[in-house]
Amino acid sequence: MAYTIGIDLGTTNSCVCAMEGGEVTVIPNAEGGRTTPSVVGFTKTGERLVGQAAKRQAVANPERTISSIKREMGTDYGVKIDGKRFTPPEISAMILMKLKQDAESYLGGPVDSAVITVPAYFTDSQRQATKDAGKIAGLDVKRIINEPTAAAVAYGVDKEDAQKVMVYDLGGGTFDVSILDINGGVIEVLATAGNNRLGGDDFDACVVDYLLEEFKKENRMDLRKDPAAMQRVREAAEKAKIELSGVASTNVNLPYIAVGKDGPVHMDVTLTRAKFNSLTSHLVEKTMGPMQQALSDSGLKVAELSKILMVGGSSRIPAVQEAVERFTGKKPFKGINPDECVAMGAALQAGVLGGQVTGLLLLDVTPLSLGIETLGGVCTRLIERNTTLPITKSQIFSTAQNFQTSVEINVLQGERQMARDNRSLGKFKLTGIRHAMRGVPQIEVTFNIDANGIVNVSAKDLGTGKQQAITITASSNLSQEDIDRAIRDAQQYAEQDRRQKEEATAKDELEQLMYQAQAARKLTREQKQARSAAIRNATKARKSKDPDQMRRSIAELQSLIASFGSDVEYDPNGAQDAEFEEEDE
Amino acid sequence: MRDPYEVLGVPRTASEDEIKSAYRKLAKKYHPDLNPGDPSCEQKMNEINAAYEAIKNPQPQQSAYGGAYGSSYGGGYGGSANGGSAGGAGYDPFGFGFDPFGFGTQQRTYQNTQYETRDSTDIQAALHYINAGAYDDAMNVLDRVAMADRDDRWYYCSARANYGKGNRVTAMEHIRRAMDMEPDNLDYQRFYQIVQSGGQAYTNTGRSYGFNMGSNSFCSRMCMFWCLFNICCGGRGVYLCC
Amino acid sequence: MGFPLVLRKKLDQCELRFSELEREYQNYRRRNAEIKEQSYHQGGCDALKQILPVFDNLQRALEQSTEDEAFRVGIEMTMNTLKKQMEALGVEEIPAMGQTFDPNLHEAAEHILDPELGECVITRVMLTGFRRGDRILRHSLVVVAN
Repeated sequence: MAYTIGIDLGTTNSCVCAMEGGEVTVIPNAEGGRTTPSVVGFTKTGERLVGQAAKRQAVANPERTISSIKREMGTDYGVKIDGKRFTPPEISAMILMKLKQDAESYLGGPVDSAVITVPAYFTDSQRQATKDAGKIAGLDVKRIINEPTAAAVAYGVDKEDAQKVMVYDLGGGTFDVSILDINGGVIEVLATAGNNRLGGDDFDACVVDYLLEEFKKENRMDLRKDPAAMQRVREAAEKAKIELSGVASTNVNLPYIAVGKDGPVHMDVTLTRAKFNSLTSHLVEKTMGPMQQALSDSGLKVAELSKILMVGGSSRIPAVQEAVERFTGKKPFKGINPDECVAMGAALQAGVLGGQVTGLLLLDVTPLSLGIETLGGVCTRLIERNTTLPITKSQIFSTAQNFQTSVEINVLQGERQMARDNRSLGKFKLTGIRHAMRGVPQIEVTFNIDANGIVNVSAKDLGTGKQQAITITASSNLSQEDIDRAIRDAQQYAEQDRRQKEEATAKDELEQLMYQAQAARKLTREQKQARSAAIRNATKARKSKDPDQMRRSIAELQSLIASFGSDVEYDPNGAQDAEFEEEDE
Repeated sequence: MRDPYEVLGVPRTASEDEIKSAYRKLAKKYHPDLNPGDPSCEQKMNEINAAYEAIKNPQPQQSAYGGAYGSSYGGGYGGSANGGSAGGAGYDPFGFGFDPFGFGTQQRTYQNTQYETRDSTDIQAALHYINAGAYDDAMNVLDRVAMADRDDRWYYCSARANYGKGNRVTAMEHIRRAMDMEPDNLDYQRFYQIVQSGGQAYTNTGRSYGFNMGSNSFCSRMCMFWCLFNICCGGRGVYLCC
Repeated sequence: MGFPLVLRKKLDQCELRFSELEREYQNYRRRNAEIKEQSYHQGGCDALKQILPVFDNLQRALEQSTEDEAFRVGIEMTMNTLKKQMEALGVEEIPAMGQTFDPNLHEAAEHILDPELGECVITRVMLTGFRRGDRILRHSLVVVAN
């Protein structure tokens, strides 16, 4: 039976967890790291790197290295590499595939499904894109759950007392606040708010701007035009930000950052925590609004909150923690690992869905109101935000013209009054409506938001009782064909990759054996002849790059060496001489 | 929608905590997460959530119909003003002046009392079809209602639909059943009279799209206009309006 | 549900859980054995990684020009001792200068364009990289051309 893993697919870093022996474990990646950078790099030879390796070559390969792709999920952004265009779900799928592989080697078994987390404030398109990414990576996405909720699950799974908590999740690219009611194994989300475009990356950007400004003042050079220099500056900015969570002042030192008219120039800027705070205070301020929103939507007073859980790398920033304390009057709770708790919660939810974890139920809400466009370009709400999921609402539609055979509905997500200010999920067209006078056909359109927070639209002609056909246009999501194609591509690539690796290991083994065989001394004439034959075969096999052929050669060489017995000596420096010896024969 | 308090199984006087705990208990029982592979649970959970929402955020009763006429008619057509004669705030399918719950604001009071707020979606749909003269559609809707749910409203609708189709005997039977269930209902009594008298007070122009041609001259003028319009332009075929 | 059916269901569940636990246990044992084997090596690697900045600073010190020859020789001897000890512990320098950039061994700190050099060639080593057995203590921090 295959495993289900919990994945925190983050903007900057991702983390994977699984249930083992009734407990949640963090799965380290192949390099031993407990989190994996969400970076994908395409080398000049077309090889795909994901994670630490991709990060290490980012500076040397800026145009072909992609980071923070999560920020583009649900949009029609695309990146072109070697003439091929990749959509955000495809890039995310590459990251997921690596996580899947690492999990499989750690768990010693196949992984075919996952629970993936998304920011609570993700729209329907963004959630759909995440689900598509999972599909492309060969994972059956059992559930999409919200990050702050996952964190609360990791925190509250074993809590006895009923309590109300606030989760403040400031990750690399997104910010979420959720208010939860934990009681008797039921985790109920009361309200959620946030900002999809606010995260640690923005704090880094402020530091980068400051560094560039200081550098410009000092050297009268604009580093923005130099992508490799920018990469270094960005990395240094992130490092500085992290350091300032621990110390009051840090120095950003980048020698040879650029070449000026008089020679190489270096960057040497000191950044104090106080300066950092003032540079980023507007960002911290931006988190206040959603906190207030979530609190008022939940109907609770600040005093009713018993804990404030801090999640996400950027929640470690002292200014952030101080601001939260000022707002809530409570010291933030730091008893959970801000980088891993989301993935842990996802794994726990996977356990719930798989039946390994009992006594835990997650009741999440939809973060955005769902509505339709009506006369005058107004958005009429059907399902209010913070409604517990799953939820269904029906609406009857009819025709405006006689014999009209299709009706178009623009489905929106958002809180604004006018349709154009909200996010359109797409135009749903009801087609094949029977010819009738206008106003006669009654099509009941059912809007359902499932437990993943994804909107499903179905329609029924009340007159005939039959399902009404719907086609969706104008949405930035991938069509089924796109997904199928992407899955094929991904499988093809994985197969290619596997073959290449197999080839490489076989080649290594073959070469080692060849070297060993050639280093043998004191062989009889027959043995030498056998050796030449074997070496010739091996050389051919190595040239062919065919793993099967190489394996056969390997077996041949292995039995040959075994046959040499203990009388034979091996000269560690002798392989080359042996080669010449063969040629003479 | 069923009474939310009934769905959650709490009395109307229940406190917030009682409601919450009842909700949680039901959620633990019916949530699809804890009942994998059981599709009826998803539906049940929808109902429970809807009830919980209704109690948490009480809003004026919005049936799929109440909302639809006011909003979706205008919006269902991608914004183009093909509503023609409607112009203004709402759509008016028969050109009789805007009426959110029915077709035509005729003087006949019995038309206006048709949509009772407690009517289920099915009954509302059936009445809509009946008023539009689409009796087959109405029959389809009514057929889908389970035997156990067939109340006096169902029989009333069924009577009218059958009558429209010309099944006088069935119509008589059903209107009688309706009256047995609800003896004080004036609408039922009035319709009974109509069936008995052979339908002189309520004429149907027959065919599939009937228009209520009352004695109201305004209405008959509009109806004439409609008929002419259809005769002149009826052969034009399908209007594809998106 | 009849009593025997209930029992059957329970039995099925238990059997499934049992085989899952069995598999998890095997995994756990395998991994534990791996960890035990590696933990000595891993511990050494972690400790040595912390010492590397000392190496770096001695290197920087040696790059300074000074008139006090005796002092300089002293630093050189210290550096040699450190290098010998590191070697004895199995630490090797990662070849970087002039090599083709390999993200598995090197970390790019800077990218320059130089028409005289080949593709992805390392032109300067900012921090020496080290490996110990199959573990990389620190990736070489390099400047890559093209």
